[in-house]
Amino acid sequence: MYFNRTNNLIMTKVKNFGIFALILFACSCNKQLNIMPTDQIDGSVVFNNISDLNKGVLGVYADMNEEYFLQLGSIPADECRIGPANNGANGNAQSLFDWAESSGDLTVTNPWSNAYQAIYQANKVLAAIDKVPVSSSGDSIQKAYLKAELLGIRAFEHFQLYRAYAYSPMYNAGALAVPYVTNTDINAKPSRPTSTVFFNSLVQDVKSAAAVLGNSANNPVSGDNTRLSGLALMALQARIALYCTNWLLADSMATLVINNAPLATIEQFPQIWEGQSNAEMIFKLKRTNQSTVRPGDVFYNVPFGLVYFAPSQKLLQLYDTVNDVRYASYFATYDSLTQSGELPWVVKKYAGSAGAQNIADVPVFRTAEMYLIRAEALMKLGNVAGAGNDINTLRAARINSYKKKTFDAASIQDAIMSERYKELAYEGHRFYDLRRTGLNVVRNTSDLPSGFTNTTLAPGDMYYYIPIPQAEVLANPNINPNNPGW
Amino acid sequence: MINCRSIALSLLLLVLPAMLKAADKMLHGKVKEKQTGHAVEGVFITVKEVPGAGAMSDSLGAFEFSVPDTALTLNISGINYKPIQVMVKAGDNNVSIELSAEGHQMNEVVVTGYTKQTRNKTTGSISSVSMSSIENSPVGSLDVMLQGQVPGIYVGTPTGQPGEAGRVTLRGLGSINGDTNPLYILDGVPIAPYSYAALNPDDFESVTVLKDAASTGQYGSRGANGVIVITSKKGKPNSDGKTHVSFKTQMGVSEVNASHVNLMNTDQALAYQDVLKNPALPGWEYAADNPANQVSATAAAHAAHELDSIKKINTNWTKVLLHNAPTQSYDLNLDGGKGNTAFYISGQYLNQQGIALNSGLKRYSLNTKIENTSGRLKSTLTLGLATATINFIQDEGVATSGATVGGGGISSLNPIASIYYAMPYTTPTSTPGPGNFGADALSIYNNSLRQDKQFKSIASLNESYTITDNLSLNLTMGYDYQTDQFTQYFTPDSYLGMQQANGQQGSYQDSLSHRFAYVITGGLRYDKQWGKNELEANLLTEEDRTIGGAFGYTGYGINGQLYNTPAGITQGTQTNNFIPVLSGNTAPNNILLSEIALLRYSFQEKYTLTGSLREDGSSQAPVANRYKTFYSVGGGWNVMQEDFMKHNKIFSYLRVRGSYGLTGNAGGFMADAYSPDFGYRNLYVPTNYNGLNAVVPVTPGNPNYNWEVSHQSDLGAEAGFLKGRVRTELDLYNRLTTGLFLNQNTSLTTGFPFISDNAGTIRNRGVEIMLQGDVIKNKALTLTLGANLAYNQNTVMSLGGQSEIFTDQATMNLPGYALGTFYAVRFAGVDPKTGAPLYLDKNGNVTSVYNVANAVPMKGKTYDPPWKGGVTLSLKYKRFDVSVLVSLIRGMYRMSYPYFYSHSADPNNQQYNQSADMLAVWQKVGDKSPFAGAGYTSYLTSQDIISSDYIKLRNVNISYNVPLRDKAMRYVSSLQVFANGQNLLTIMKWQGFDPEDANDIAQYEYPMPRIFTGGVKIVF
Repeated sequence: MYFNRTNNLIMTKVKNFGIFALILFACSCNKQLNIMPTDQIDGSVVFNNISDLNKGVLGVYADMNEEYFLQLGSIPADECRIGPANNGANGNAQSLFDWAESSGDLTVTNPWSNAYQAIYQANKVLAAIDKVPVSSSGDSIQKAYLKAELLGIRAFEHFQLYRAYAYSPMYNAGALAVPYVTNTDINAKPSRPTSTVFFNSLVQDVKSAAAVLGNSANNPVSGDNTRLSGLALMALQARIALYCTNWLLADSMATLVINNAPLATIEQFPQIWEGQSNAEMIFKLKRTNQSTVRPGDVFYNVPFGLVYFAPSQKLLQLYDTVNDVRYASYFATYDSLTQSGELPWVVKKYAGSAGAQNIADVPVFRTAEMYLIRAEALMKLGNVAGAGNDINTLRAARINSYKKKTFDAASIQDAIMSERYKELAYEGHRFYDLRRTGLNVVRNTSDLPSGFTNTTLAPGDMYYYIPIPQAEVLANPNINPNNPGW
Repeated sequence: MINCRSIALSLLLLVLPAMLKAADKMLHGKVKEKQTGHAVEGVFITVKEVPGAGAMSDSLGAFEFSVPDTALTLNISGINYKPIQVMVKAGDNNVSIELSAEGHQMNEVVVTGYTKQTRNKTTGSISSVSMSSIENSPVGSLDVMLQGQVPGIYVGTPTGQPGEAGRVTLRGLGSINGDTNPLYILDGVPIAPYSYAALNPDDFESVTVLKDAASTGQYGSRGANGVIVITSKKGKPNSDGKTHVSFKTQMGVSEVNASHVNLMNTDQALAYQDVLKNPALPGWEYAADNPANQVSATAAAHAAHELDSIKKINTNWTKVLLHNAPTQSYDLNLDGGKGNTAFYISGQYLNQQGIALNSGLKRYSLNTKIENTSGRLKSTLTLGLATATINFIQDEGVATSGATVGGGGISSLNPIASIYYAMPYTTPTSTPGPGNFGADALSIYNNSLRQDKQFKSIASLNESYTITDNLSLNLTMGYDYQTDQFTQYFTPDSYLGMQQANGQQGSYQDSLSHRFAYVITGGLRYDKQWGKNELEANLLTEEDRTIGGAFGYTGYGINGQLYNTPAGITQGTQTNNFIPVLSGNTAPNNILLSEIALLRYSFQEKYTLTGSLREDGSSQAPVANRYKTFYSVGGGWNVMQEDFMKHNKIFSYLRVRGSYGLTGNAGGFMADAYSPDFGYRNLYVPTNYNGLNAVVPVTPGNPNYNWEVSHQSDLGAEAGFLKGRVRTELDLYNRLTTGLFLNQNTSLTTGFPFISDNAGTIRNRGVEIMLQGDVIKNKALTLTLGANLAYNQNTVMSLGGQSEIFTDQATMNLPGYALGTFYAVRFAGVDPKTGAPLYLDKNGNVTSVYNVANAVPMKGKTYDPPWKGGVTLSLKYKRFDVSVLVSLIRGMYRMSYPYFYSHSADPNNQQYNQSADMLAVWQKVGDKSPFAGAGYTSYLTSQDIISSDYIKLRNVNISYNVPLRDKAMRYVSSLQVFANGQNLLTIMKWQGFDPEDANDIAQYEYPMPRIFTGGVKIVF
């Protein structure tokens, strides 16, 4: 009996303990298990007021690595020759230069994924923006500005993607463009709309944004040109019109920008590239020593001291090296470089300063481009004189003691292409300019590395087209067909 | 328990009445095996007090020898038996000795996690690691020593960096997203994986590997990858009441083993360059057949002179950038106790320098264990403190898990890469600069530091209170605490220092991280025997919490005289570009709460049934899936106990067992590619644009994120033959992992490359065989041979609707194939007409165009080896002890970057030295060569996916017990000298330093050294 009692007692104790433990467990568990992140902000609570929204918009800019597009638009073209030490494991974009890239290369994947990342971020903020409360009319205005800005960024990034990855580099309404993404559905596997459908969405975004931002020269929130302004949206429309061969719109939009933002003078021009002047800079992406991607990185590797890409002889020879202010702004010659096996010429445009090498802002829209767009539009509209006038104006702002030239229908075309080549060098336009006009990429023999003999990339070659990245094709079969040859 | 029993036996013998005085007597005795009663042959009986006296038992287990008739202590040791001490009182002439079998015999007590049992009463697949082959191995990280020891375990050692942890898998890869490491439990405390450099393996008493559900089910959500249970050494109260002091010292050298590295020497390189005809390379620039040198006699003479002076240089960069490095260690152990208290104290100093300059491991460790029994309360306190200083080479990280990471950067920052890159005609004294790889590497060695100073403390306190004979209350509390101080500098005026991004004047980085993980386990244990029945039940509740944090900075503008201190940093201003970079976080931060019920029922020694039920709740799972229940059931049948086996002459033991259960891989939450603690949330992190505060999303979030679980069944048999001289074990298992943690590839247009998700199934099934036999067993010589072999078939059954998931550029996962199957464009040789590389397209047609779209999966080529095995040899001859461990791997492949870059005539890679194989490069029409001619772009193809199979003589240990004279015996009770060789010989196809690695891609990993050591162990 005694034993039985003890056992009973113990069993009761055990039961009690068990129940006690269970209760303790059940009570404390849910609370204990709900650990909130301390180093990050949960997406459900990140946007609570206008200031939070503004941080979200700044985040979009922070992740816009336009350098990837800049590289894609410059390296496969005829602006560069490859640095002798840019090879092997420490190299950069060699395959892109060699017209031998693979669709798995980062040089091909990065622009695609980065642009869509920025678009996702913009869409995230757009999805939250209407629910964020406002406490004043000032807040409402700010909110409208931010929303317009995000739509503008979304349009801009999509257009960047279109330039690089569209099926047909020359405008073709029926040809496949790239997906236009306006949602944040992580499971979406979009297919490619036709150019017509793509531009419908894009133009809608641009117009909604432009309606709010007007013709402001500076972004109304930041008060400067490091964020999209009304003028930047006009510049974007001018560029889009150029690519869509809508010459009337290109002319009118470029004119609007030109009238609001004068060209930099010969004196101002070098200062732009030293980070000292904002003349004619309609929109630029700011780079600081906290930026992980910097435009100079395309051409020069700071940690290893390697020149990735040097200017091509073909380009250098086009300038009046004495009178053209662009030559000394964009290039430098250091004979000492040859001692370490490098070429003596370097791309100086984004070299930064001592101690801050490669740190320079990324130019996105400049007035010079608007003159060139308008010149091309006028030429296409049959106004050779007007086109010549724009070319002369631009040259006069770049070349000391420039004497005006007169052009005919044949020479104006060459003059515009040549001026675009010289003025917009390394701003990521050249490859697209050749492609949108159906021209071959032709390099000088002297610009080829040893062992290479191929000077011409023609529209019949697969490398004339930039493939949809392999990662996209594998994850999203709907994206097919890939671009010609791929 | 064995120890307790032997102590009890000694005590019992002590109590026997002592009568007669000292005079020589003949002592007779018989040695029997405790469990079977069989006579045991070949057991040494020595007398502690009388050096030289002793004998060995004969085939009947009998022995006799002459000794003084006083109280004596007999030391009894036999192979595969637990050594014991037996007291003989004056007057006793006859002594009966019972030995308990050790090793793979049935009554060995195995620590199975929360409980311990005799092997007879376990139902799971449990392997004990032999500590003898670990004892003298000079390896800094414990996991690395497990390879080849236990069937079914694979340890991929990523690099030869001293102290580097390996990738351990048990029974194949069961997870796509990385965490495939087993759970490590040291004295009841889970310890962090990948961080063993500060642990001294000499302090371990037992290492038990739990493989199936019956044994790992108790760990529930953390049991899916198997569990390695370690108990640390404890003290034993000695009969004489004295404290035993033992001292061990070991010295040796780590050697460079470059026998499979076949790079060109100067003559070969120049001859090869003559073929390439690249004017930037001296072999063509100064070649006599170069038309540029034939323009004039002076030009020809100049070229000949230049070529001649270059030919005089022939630098072997392997010898310059690697060296033979010393290793030394000192161990001091004290153990003893009195009455109800026992203690163990050990201290160690290890200094192992690496074969790469400026690398190595230095460790100081102190471990103590105190046990006390007072009435109903038993307390055990274990406290370990250690510091380890690890010096790394540049670009050599601390390897973490997964297929895509590992040390050995493909960049000339990494000195190991420079061994391959540097041209033999460049000199170590030349000026560093772009492309001067050898001199650059030396400059990096001399002007930089990469150091991790670890402080680690693992402690546990166990309190066990006996409430009644059947019921006890148990409480275990413990922690694993680690801090890492990481320091890196580049001197300001060095080649690399002048290229530091901020300011170009060197840098100094210092960061401190800490991780504190504690566990509290408490509950009741009920143990009842009635009649032939035995019941054991445990009801436990557990809290497992991990918190941590880190902060650090990198400063710039370093003062050249103060480069290894933060004092040398220049303060950042708006204008000087020296603004320091700051970093910090408060991770990890997670908690696991559990309720555990364990049940065992045994009928006689014959049948045992076990069951476990565990509910785990994790902060790393989203609210909807926070809790998960895990379970296991197991059964064991000891066939020998059946009446019908009574008269069998074949088996000395025979047991079959089976189990099934559900376990989880909670560690997989930590391996989440987006966020280790909050993989299910959509998270934003701060960043800045134009100096202003901004936020960016970093994870897409997935509210349906869930647990990854394994359903494992196991069937095993253990049998002994010829009186236990032959021991075998066979296991068949089938493990189905479902709800895989995987990166569900998303369209990049969504803004993210993938989403953390649970989908798909992987099956691992296989067979494990262990065979061990005492081939020779007589008085003078015992030779035991062992072999273990495991075959694992890994198949991805489904990927939740996806047809393929590519993990990196080398491997992909797709249904019907093994996890981590290589995929590549197939290389189809070289066109003899043009020297152009040829490929196969997707349909198998030869094409000269390389397009990654033509990459195909390569069935049977995976980086986790299906075949793993080990061969052990243990030989005892008189006073000599020899143990040998051979491990082998079959069916493993890796994509080799060193091979790719050293077999490429591509102009992009002509600046790199090449393998001597490349002398056979295509040169002219009609050449049949496997290597494409100069001028063609090289791409990674099937050619670069190379078999990593090996047979490796991993460890040889020879020791000798020095006979001691009487005088010496007064001070020293034993003296042992030993020699140890590690990683001595490898048979392999691999070209390079070593085929072993933790992942699928071979880069320029720190080479594995060959280590020779010798030492002395003295026991006082």
